Amino acid sequence: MKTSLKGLLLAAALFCVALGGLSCQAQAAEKYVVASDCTWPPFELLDENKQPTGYSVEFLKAVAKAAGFEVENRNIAWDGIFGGVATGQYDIVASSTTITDERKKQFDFSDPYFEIVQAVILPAGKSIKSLKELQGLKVGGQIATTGIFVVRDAKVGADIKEYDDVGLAIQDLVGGRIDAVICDEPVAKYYANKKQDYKGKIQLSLRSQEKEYFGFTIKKGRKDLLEKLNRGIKIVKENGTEAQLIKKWMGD
Amino acid sequence: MAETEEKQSAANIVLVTDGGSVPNPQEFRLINAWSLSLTLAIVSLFGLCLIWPEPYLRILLYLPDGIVVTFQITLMSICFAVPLGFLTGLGRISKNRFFKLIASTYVEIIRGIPLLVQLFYIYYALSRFFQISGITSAVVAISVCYGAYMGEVFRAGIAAIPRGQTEASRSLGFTRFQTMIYVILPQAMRTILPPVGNECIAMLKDTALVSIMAVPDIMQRARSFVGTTYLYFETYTVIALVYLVITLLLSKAVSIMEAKLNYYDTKSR
Amino acid sequence: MTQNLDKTPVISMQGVWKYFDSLPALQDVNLEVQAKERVVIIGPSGSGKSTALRSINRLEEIDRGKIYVNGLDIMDKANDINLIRHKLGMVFQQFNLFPHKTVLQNLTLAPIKLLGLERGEAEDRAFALLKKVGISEKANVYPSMLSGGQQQRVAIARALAMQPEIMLFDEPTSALDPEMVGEVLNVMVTLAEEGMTMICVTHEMGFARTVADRVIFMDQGQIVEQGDPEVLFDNPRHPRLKFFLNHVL
Repeated sequence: MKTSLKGLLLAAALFCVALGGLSCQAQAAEKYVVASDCTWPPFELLDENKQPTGYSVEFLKAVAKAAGFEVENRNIAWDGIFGGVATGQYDIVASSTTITDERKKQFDFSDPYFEIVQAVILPAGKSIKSLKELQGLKVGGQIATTGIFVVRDAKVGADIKEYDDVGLAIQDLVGGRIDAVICDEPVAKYYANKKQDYKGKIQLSLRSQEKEYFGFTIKKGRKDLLEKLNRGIKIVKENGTEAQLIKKWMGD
Repeated sequence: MAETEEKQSAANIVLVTDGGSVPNPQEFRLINAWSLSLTLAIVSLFGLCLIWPEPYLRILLYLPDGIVVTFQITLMSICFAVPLGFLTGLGRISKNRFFKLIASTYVEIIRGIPLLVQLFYIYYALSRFFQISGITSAVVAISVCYGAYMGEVFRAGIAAIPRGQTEASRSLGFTRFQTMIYVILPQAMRTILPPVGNECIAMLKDTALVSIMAVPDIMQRARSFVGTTYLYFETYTVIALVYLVITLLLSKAVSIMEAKLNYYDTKSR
Repeated sequence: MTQNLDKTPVISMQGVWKYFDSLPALQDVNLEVQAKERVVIIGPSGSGKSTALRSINRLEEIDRGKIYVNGLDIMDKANDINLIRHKLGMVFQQFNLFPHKTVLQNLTLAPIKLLGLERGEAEDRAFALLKKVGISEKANVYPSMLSGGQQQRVAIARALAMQPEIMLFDEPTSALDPEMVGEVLNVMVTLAEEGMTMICVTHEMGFARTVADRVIFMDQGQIVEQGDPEVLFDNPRHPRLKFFLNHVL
């Protein structure tokens, strides 16, 4: 058993080396593959041509332009999005990933490119003043997102339902199968205010205190890429592109 | 000649299912595919947990409530799918054209739609008309889906019983219903049971799909664990082994039941 | 044909037609059988003799004509065919014993479930019949452990357990190894001697000659010739019967 495991690990290691080699080539061409889970409007979503778009995607494009590299966008399911960057299937995750200590153990993050809080959405007419009031309620969210972590860590005794994407959770909230949904505040706003179907049915009720920061996620140890990202982010923040993007995606 | 007919009736159905393969009840050798797989699975699982309790044991201990949910859904689905399959099988061989049409249409429709789509459909699409919980949706979708597959198993199992059995029974004065109860089903059980058992095991495996409906089964437990730890390799290794141990044990149970049903013709003259 | 005209026949087939798809299997079959009569039907394979026999207890549904058993129209929905079948014992070429039941259970199942006999009563009846067909020692084994001849004797006993008035035999010895034919025929001869009304489709010409009151020759779905076995076998008139007998005997 032990030997076979060793063999497996060796094979896995070789595989990673091979993939690393491949991404080295990609690096030489200055073209990076970017993964986004396009179910998280307004940060990541698909346009009419089924191409990834949204704040994070466009922000990264601006970063690439500023830092002088190219990107190729891919739509990747949230569930395995970190696994793919770890094995080198793509170089950058631009998917509203909050920088957390736990994640930092496994991955490198760029400097923050956006600041958010978590928000709780409730059916219209209902409101809560603290997370404690979620006790005994069915609270939905996207699986393995910081929203879920916030409710779980608060230990308020909520019945947490983890969905594959936040849209399904909102759908269930509107349908009445769950009592609340927690997600990034801009996302909550998008669903509560911008989606015609949900108008008047749900509302944003509670914002968490702790701020979270989005960072672009890359495999550990890719110093050059990290440096490029951070340089680009700085430029984009300073040259007014950021303000334009915020207006475009988050303005009313 | 009679003897050949008997043998045919027992060996008539060859069904390919996606269930675990049921071990041959006549297999008494100590080392066979089943015992080897089970030993490997158990040794790997507990070996990993003993050698590296962090993270393997932690992963394993994260799962029990998920295992309960998986079993809950599987057992409830079996309770509905088997009777549904039986009725469908009867419908498919019915002389009544109406029942036959209903049963055949049901089978055609269900077999043409992936289970994952059926799950989404019942849970999300139909939520416009009625709201049922994730677990109920899972049970409904899986029962309806597997009812159709099992319908074919029942149909084939019943059809495999030689016509002479029905004729002998009817000629004694048994009604069609009595013939089914006293003569056909007891014999068909033995050809039906292994593939039905197989379907039940396949069903257990397919419950992994229900995590899309926010149902906290084994698979979703794994996904949330990975979501916080990013230990893809370790977590899914444990999950795969857990599923394997469960399905191997269940297939043995089916095999034992199968052997018990073979009481009347295992001995040769 | 001319005998017993004064009595009501226990079985009467009148102008019976049966088609398999569009092919006629029975073409205008007329047959009357009197109580205690022993009728043997012979003919080449595909001649419709089994179909004729099986239509008497409605294992085959006829397309035209009438069949009466004890004066009851078997195709009439008002007459419960299952009750009519109680009176018609049937023995098949392939025995068709219930393999999941012991010999004893094969004999007691129908009397208990259909006639409402107590288990003890049914078993007494079963043991008596097993003794009669000479295999009482096999009462508790499963059919798969019996030889073909033994199985067929059990099948006869199973039919008799319902105490039928008429026995229908559909080539009862055709599936047997030659050395087992005798033991089954002996049982049938005994039954005949006891005065059981019998209709038997068979290729056993010896049996037909010794046991039958009347032999019927069928070919191409029709009754071609019938009569006393001596006359029919020794002085066949119809060329098809002559041809058949030349090839069989």
